[in-house]
Amino acid sequence: MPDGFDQFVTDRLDRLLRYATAMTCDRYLAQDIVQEVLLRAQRRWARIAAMDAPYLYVKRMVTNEYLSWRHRKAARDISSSTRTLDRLTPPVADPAVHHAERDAMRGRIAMLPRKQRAALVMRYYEDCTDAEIATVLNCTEGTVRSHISLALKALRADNRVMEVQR
Amino acid sequence: MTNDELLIRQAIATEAEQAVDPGVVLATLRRGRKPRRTRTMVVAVAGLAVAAGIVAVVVPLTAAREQAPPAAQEVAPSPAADQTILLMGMDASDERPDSLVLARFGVDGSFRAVSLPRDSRVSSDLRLNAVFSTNGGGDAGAQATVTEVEKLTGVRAQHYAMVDMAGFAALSSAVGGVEVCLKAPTKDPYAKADFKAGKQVVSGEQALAFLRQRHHLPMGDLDRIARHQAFLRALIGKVSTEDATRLATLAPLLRQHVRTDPGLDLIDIARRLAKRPSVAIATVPWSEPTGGTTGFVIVDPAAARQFTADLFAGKPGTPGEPANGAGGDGCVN
Repeated sequence: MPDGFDQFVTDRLDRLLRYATAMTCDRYLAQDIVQEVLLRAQRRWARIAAMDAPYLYVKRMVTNEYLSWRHRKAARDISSSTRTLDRLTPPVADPAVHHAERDAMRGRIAMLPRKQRAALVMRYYEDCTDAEIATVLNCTEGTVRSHISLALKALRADNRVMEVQR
Repeated sequence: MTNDELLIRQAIATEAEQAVDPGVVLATLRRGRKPRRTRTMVVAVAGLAVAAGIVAVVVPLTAAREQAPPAAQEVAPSPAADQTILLMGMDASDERPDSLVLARFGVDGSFRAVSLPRDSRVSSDLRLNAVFSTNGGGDAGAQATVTEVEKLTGVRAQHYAMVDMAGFAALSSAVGGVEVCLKAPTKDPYAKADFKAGKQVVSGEQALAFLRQRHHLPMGDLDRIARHQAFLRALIGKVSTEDATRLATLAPLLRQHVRTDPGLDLIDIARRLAKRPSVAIATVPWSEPTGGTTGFVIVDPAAARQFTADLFAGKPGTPGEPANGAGGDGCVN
């Protein structure tokens, strides 16, 4: 039988990296975290593979690794580094008219508290259910809904002048 | 879906697009596989403190060479006993030793050292690097740390030496920079690091960044450990070729950045190192806790004692050189 872990990595690495990047707003931090978690998961693979949803479990490991990140100031630094990165390497031009609005939104998302952002990314990028998000964040579904509604409120309050151009 | 939600979806998707190439991570995973499989991670390592420790002892040597006639040294050789010293590299706040190295300076001129992970658990909620401040810091904190290290390794250090981080910036500048080699360019805003690939001379703030950077490296702390060792080797090389006059100018710097207990005779240590020591440095075996607790590593005292005893006895087959993580060319991540 081929190494189950290798298969998992082949299938899921790209998605995990994208998820972590969206959550951390820092591609290198995301790389660090995903690498670290996969190395750990590899050693316990027999146990993880036996679970109902190995991907969800690994995603939970990635999320927890980020949420328990020692440097509390990370969130602030990250959002500023995102802006710096954008200045240095502007994202590839997109013909969409609301390109600027989208990047402004990116900046605001980067400023959200980490848990709210994690919930938001799972909802709007991974299309997770409340129950799945609750499992990953180890909280109730009510708390998940509260994270997301707080995040949306913050993004909107910040965003009064913005309306997607048609 | 509202416009806001659509915009959020697009913004997050754009953010996710920034992800690094999975190939980079795959390569690291493949490289990381071998050492990781052995549960006790034995990585050759030198902490910051070792680098400082060596400088701290090599430099007074030069001063001693100038002050004492060589004949006197030969007539009165060092006391015939090994010296064991706990070297502590202090973090920026000076409250936590982030680098802990138990070093033995042998009568035969050998230098053997065991590095202890700073996150080693010493009680249910206390890690090794917190012992210093919970005991009030200073001499009391240092002695308490010596005691905890003894519990883990079975070896009691006769002396301690504390080195602060700022010392490295100053020392590396004072010797005119230290040459290191990086496998790849790297940046880390936390450590203020921004390095190109290949050989380069670092000094001052750059040296500090080189030694501090832990994030954005393929193997995180393990890569930092390899860097410490590379830096140490380069520094020893540099110091050993410096002329005496220049080295003598380092003495005030050392007094400023290195604190020891009153009984430590640096000159005696320096004489031992003058014999071109064989250097062996390794990390004590450790493992991750089995429960979900994060942030700690577990050092099994039985294994650690055996390991320390073997390394200090110079048993063949004990790791120490060269560093894992450094390529054959001495380049590190």
